[in-house]
Amino acid sequence: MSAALLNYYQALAAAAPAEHAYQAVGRERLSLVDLPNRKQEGWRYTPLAPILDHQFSAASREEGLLEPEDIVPLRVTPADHVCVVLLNGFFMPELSTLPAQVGLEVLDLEQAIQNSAAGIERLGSLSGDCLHLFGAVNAALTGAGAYLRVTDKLSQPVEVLHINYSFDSDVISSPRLLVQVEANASLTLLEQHVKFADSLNMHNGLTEIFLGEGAELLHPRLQNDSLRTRHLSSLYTQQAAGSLYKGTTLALGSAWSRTEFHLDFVGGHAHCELNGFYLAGEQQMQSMHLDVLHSVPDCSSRETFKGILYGQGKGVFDGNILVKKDAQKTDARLSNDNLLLSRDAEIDTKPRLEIYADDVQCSHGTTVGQIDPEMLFYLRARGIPKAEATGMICQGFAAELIAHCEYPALETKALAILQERLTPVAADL
Amino acid sequence: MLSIKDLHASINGKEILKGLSLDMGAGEVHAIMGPNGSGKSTLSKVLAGREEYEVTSGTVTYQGENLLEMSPEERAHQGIFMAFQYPVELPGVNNTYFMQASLNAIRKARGEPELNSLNFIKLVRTKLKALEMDESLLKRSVNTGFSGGEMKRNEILQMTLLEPTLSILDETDSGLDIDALRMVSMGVNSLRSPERSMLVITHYQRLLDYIQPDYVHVLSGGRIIRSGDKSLALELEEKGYGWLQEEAAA
Amino acid sequence: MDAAEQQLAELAKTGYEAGFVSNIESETVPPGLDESVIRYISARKNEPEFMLEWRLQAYQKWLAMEEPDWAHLNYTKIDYQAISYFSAPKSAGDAPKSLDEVDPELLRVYEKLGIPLEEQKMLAGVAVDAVFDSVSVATTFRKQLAEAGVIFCSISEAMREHPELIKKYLGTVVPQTDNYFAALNAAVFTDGTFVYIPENTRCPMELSTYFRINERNTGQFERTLIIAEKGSYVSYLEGCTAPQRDENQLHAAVVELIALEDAYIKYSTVQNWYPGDENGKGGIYNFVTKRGVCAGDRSRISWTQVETGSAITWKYPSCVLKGDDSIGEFYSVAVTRGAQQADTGTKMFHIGKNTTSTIVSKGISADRGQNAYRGLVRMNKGAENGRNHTQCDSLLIGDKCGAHTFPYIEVANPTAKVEHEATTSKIGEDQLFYCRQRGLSEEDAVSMIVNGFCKEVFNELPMEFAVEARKLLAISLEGAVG
Repeated sequence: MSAALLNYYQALAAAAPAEHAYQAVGRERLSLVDLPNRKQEGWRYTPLAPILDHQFSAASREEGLLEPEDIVPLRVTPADHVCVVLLNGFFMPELSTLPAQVGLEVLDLEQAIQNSAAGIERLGSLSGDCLHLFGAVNAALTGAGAYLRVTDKLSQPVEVLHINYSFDSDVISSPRLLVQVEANASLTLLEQHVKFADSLNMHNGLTEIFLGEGAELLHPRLQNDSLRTRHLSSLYTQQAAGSLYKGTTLALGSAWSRTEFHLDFVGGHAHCELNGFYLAGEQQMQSMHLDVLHSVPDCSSRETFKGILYGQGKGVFDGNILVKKDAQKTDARLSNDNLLLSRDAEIDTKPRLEIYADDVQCSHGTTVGQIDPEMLFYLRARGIPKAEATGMICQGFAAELIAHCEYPALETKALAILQERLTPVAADL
Repeated sequence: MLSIKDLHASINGKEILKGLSLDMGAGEVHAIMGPNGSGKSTLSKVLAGREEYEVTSGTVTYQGENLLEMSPEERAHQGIFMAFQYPVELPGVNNTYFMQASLNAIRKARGEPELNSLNFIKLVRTKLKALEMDESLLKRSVNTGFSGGEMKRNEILQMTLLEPTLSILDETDSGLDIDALRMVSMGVNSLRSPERSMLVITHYQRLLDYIQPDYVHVLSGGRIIRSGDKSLALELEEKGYGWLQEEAAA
Repeated sequence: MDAAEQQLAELAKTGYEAGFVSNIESETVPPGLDESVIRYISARKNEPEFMLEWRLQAYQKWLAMEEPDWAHLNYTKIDYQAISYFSAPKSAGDAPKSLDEVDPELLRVYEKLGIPLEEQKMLAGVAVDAVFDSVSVATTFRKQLAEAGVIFCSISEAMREHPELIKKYLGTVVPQTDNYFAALNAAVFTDGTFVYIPENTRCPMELSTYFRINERNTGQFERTLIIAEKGSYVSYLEGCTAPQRDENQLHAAVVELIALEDAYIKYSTVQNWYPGDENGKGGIYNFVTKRGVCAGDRSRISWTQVETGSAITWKYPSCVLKGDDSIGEFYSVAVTRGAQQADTGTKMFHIGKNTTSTIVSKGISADRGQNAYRGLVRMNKGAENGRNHTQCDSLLIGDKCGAHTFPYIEVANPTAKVEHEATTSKIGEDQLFYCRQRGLSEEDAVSMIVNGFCKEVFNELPMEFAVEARKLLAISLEGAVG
């Protein structure tokens, strides 16, 4: 079975149109890589059947499936702001809103490659040799996606909307986002993965972010894929001196998700704040994997992750902080807090520290627990019925994290989804 | 007791003390005041022996000996005590145990007999009582979880225990309420004697109401620009530092 | 910085204090491992037939397994065919009945190691079962313990005198298939300690065992089995020393603890193996499997360890909390210096209801030492109200060492509560200066701060061990701070 699947993806790669030199790296890797399996540390707790049991066909650009009016209710940014729509990973100019903005360049990735847009040679430099099978698939199919380059302090956010919708079922889309925020520029980049239909698709996205000296990026992401979608997204960042990255990922949808974060610093006095929230209920599996690398001195990072597990949901958190020998004065803190609401829910968490420098401040903390009975009693003593009180406490637990998005419209949407999902659950607790 | 002549000291290549001179006799209490950044803290750290500060020129003579050649613990053995502005926490290290080790290390260096635990506890209890401090302090780890006021009082407790010849009080009054200030001052004053000297570094005049100095010096730009008696402190309170700095610049 | 580096260099040159070689004649089987070696071992020890079967089974399983390759460790691969698996001193075939019957050279070795087998030790209240290489030479104070009904003897003797207990419990906590080193141990173990505490009995003295590896290329494969019946209590101390050697020596022990209803087993280890020279050459490889089962309700097992030796340490003393209201505890101080590497931690399996586990791990790294904590806390589906609290702290001394934390937390029950915290720090300049301003030397200051760091763990050790542990820590960190 495994050989067959590997051959299948190799063939898929071979058939892809040649766009960029990086595809050769992907193909090469596909010929060497093993399928992910539970014996590999990075997949230890992850059920693999959902992604290995299907031979997903490669997505293709499908015109005429959606109209611009379909996009309007899905957005959280005002109608005149930049909004890039990626349909099955492909940049759709007719569905997107692309007003000209000083200091902002937004292109179809394919076009950016063809035009040798500034910095395009950086494509693939962060994802390198491709971590695993799906990273290699994304590399081999390079072409779909978007290119963003910011050279100014932008006041308006840019929204990227990922829609999985196809006449075919069992389609895998592999968009790549290349984001460059040059020195002293700043951007708010909002991403949403929206539910549009219930087909059994797989999202295999990869984002590479370059922050120049003093650059700032606020990056909230809301994943609310359909409950049959498999979602795999890998994020790679590279921060130059004095830069700031504030990313928040909310994983609420999908049947199975794996969100990877690979953070790197190349200059001192840079700071990264990474937040994540996962909601796993029904039979969902949500996993978050962090790889924070401190290889230069004087940088700081704060990673805050929270999860609510209910029904038969399963959560996996795997967070590694690696501080190399010369990375003195690193300040890195990681926390992961989990709320388990049902008998059948499960959480596996593995926060890790690898420290090779001594003049550092590093710590991590993890908790797994349930709703504090004191809190519940207090609310009920004030007249609030149990189910509502439970809901309030869960919302409170999540809201703290969701607030890191720093974009009210997105936060409201996320909280509404949370409320909708948890209300029936709270009633049963 | 202490003679500082034309002291120049820098840290990370930046010169902070630019030719400071000061003479202290036995039994005297000197107050050092000055605006932020004038070098007050640097002076105390250089006297206590912090290695990140580099003395580029000048001399410091303590009881006839070259102080700058002594290691921090040697200076302690010679009777110098610094009450830190920000006392550090030593988690897991019992307060009593620490003080006993410190006292005995100093006694040993002087050829005096060390105190066993029983006698030490007796001694500490008397000191605690005199300072109106609670015995629960003895069971805790050094400065761990202490409030600002508790930390400063803990410093003074150690001071009364070690009976230093030269005490350097580095902004001991910062963060203290009136009661704590009173208690701290009581402790300091209880140690005043013709054989002991004190260098009180402070930002505000208020402490000097309780610990009356014999001399007041104003430190600015890394040097002492004015010396006087305690009335100088009152004048500063009224006028601020500006007028002195202008004078010095002229 | 320079003065301390110099001190360090001097310490490295001064010999390891327990390092010496003794010249007792021993009967050694030539190196190599196959079925005939195992049969020989079993025959030499007059083991019952079922034991030989058990060993051979284990051997077959071991042949089919692969050596684990996953930890954060770098070491030269062990050549299992280059080790001699049996070495007995040339005394009379049977164990001596009194100290008079023991080879005087052996007794001199024990004295050098500080194991006085005479009356003074008995008055101090500690019984000693001294294992010399692969054969138990003298077991003291058995009579006094026998009066309390406590059985404290070598595993070999237990096989002969109490086969029903061995059959019932051996391999039930660490089965032959558990892992590579456990399988090897099950096949070739040559001796170890057996302890049995009857119902409602509090063992009248602390039990302890000393080990020593003497022969070149002799791996030490001992096996310990401790059974505490309902309502009983025992405190067991394990402390080791080893001579200086050039080739690496393998130590693959297995320890099984069984605590029945309301029983409490306290197992303390102060380990001082030879760490190798400053490049790690010649030190002990310590690959140990230690596990306790809290089989009965309200039972309790505590593991306390202070590790300052071994070139490589791979051990995870664990507790399986089957009984309701059972308690598992793990307190550890691990020091790595020179080129030492440690990958150690604990595994707590919560199976019954209302189980509690406490983990306090303090790692200290200096020079190029690499110290990794690897732990597992698993709350099974049925682990109602399971509670775990874990605190892992690392202290780094110098900028060439490493401290790593790899906790695995698996929770499948919604009423369970798990709290895990890990911190990394160094001895601050400010802290050192504070102590020095109060008259303490830098050495004393470091010692005081490190002891404060490890306090929680030292408080769990039986008194005399705590004293030895503190001394050991001070010696092992001499010259570490620059």
